Amino acid sequence: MTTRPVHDELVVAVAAYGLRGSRTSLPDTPLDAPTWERLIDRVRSERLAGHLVDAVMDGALPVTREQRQEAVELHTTQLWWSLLLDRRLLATASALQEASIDYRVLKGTAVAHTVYPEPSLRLFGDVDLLVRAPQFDQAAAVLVSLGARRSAPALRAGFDRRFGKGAGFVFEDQLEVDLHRTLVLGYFGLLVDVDALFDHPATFRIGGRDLPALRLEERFLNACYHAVLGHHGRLVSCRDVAQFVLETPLDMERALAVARRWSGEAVVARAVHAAWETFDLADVVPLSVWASRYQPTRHEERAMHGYIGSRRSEAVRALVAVRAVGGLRGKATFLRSLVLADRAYLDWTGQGRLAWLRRGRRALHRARP
Amino acid sequence: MMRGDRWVRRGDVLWRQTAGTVLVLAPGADQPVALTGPGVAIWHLLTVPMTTHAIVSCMADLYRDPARRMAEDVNRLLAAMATQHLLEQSS
Repeated sequence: MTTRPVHDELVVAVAAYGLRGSRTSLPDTPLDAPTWERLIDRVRSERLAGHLVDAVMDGALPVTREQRQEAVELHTTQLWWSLLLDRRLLATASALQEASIDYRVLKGTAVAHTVYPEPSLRLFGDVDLLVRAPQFDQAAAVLVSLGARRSAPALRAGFDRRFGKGAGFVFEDQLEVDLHRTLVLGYFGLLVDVDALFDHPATFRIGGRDLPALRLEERFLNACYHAVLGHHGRLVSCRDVAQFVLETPLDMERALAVARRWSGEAVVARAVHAAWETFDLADVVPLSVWASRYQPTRHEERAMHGYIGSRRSEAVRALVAVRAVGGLRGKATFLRSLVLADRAYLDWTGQGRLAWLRRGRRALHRARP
Repeated sequence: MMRGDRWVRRGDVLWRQTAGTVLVLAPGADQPVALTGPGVAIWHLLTVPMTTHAIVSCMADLYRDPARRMAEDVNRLLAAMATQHLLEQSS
């Protein structure tokens, strides 16, 4: 199984900076201008400026004066964005609480504040909140009342609440809040026991206020799902996985028991294995040993087809997801939603109904085992 | 400003740090403010309430400057940070 994505060694070494046991190495002289430009572009898009500045300030990555200034300016700009997102999170949290809507803070914000020694190291681009399915529409209305607009229409009325991952909401200032009904779109998202995610929350503090996040092991699983099934191959997600395993008191047995309940062991194995390979981690820990030995079943491999590999596509992912929908009536409703997508959704995708159906037929063909 | 005034960071201020700079975003502020040099040192000191006198004394030690000379700068900084709603007086 080759899980290591192709990355520039230099960017990987920056992403691994400060990670215990990583055998990646940084150059011992300043980079020439074209190489530096390439690095800074990747650091910007991968949101790795925190690790870059850390390496520069520690003297681990020698730079020219101009390069140092450029790295700090990039970090400063991205930190400003994080601060504005933190503030939007606080305002949204207050409004949700006022409307008696239970929520959990997911992904970047929660990881930055709970898993890294310093939140400035982990940059993020939006706010992610999980709400219970029956309260999804109400939570969406709260965001609209705060001035946000939905970034894409629902596939079909009620689809988000029952089968979807969630929806993105964008404010006029371009800050974005993603409202989640589950952790990931499709098959694996439908098998997550979302109600249990609201049990025993961990809390973290922002602006003098305690906010609820997922319990440590579930937060780790969320990071694994995002690393493998979300933006596959993103270094920041890969680093999150390694950071959880090496730097938090993760209860491996519990994490794997929850993953098993979600039918997600193959995802966790792939995420951990990819982190160990990508960052060339020397430390052998029980979870990395388990991940390297894990053999996914044919069923698990098929389930991952929609997310990764050559047959990856939204349509394939949706069709594979049918297997995870409970009951014949549920499956029929799910498929009907896919076939009879709302006009607003088709308009948003820029497709006519016929093109949409043709696309579905092609996906059906590709989704076959 | 009285020597016995006690100062502390406001709990509702959001902040991050990068190479020698602390970025702070006070409630209601349009944009974050960048603290540098002595502003950073004061920000890190005031995780717990401290009197003006104690702050001056710490800063004098840090910058190896006589407290008498440091007092004016520290007072000016504390006043500016309080005006920007970054600090509050603690009882």
